[in-house]
Amino acid sequence: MSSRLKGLVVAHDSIGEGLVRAVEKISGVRGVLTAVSNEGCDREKLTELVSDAVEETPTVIFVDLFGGSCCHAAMRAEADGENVAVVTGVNLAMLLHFVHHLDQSAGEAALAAVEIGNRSIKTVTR
Amino acid sequence: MTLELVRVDDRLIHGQVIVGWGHLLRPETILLVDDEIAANEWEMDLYRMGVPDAMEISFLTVEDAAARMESFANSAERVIVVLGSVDSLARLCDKTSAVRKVNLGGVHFSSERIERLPYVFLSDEEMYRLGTLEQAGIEIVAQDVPTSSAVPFAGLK
Repeated sequence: MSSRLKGLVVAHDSIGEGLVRAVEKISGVRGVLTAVSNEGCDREKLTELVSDAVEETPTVIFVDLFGGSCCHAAMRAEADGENVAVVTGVNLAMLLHFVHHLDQSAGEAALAAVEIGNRSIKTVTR
Repeated sequence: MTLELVRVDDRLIHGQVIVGWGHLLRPETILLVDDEIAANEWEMDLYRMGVPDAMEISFLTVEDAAARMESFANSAERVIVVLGSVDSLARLCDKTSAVRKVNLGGVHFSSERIERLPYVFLSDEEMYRLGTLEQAGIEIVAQDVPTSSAVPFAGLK
């Protein structure tokens, strides 16, 4: 692996910012995740923001809603980049796992995120 | 008249359209009218992805949409039409009179545009083109989601 992974959380309103802040507070890991909001962006602007944030670094892009504007922008950035993967339905559990597992490919990290994220969703009602 | 919603939204098909309006209007078909998307299979796949199984999605150029808009308006099917720009809307309405009401759902900031509402930024030229449509009898209303208040075109000055 040439360089360590980074994560981008692309989401509606201030969801991304809130998730990134929460991960930093809980894990103490800083500088791995960046948030991008779709607020005020048309599709070109959002795609540009996401692509600029990806740069040349291996990146997992986490988006909130499958099929939404953030998802579309992430998929355009993925198509343009190398070693970029997209995961939808971002949650705190998958991000907390991600920031401690950065020495793998974006694709591997994305699969792990889906597994961890899914595993954390359950009803705890008895 | 079953053009349930004719919407200008530069994010095209996204959460507000599928969840917000889709939940209220229960469309059977969504028409995405955009010359660039209709020529790009990859982009079409992107927009197909987010559409629930119960809805059909069709991609049309402005020209093709104009030719078919009357039959959509007169069919029993509930249809939502989404256009990416005022320019597409104006070109569509130049070629068909089937559109009687337009929803401005999201036109975002660019350097030549002025904020008219937090989700509607329009250049003077776009205002002029919309004004021309309104003078031709097309009702123009800004409303991002069904639960927010509808703002008539006159309120956007």
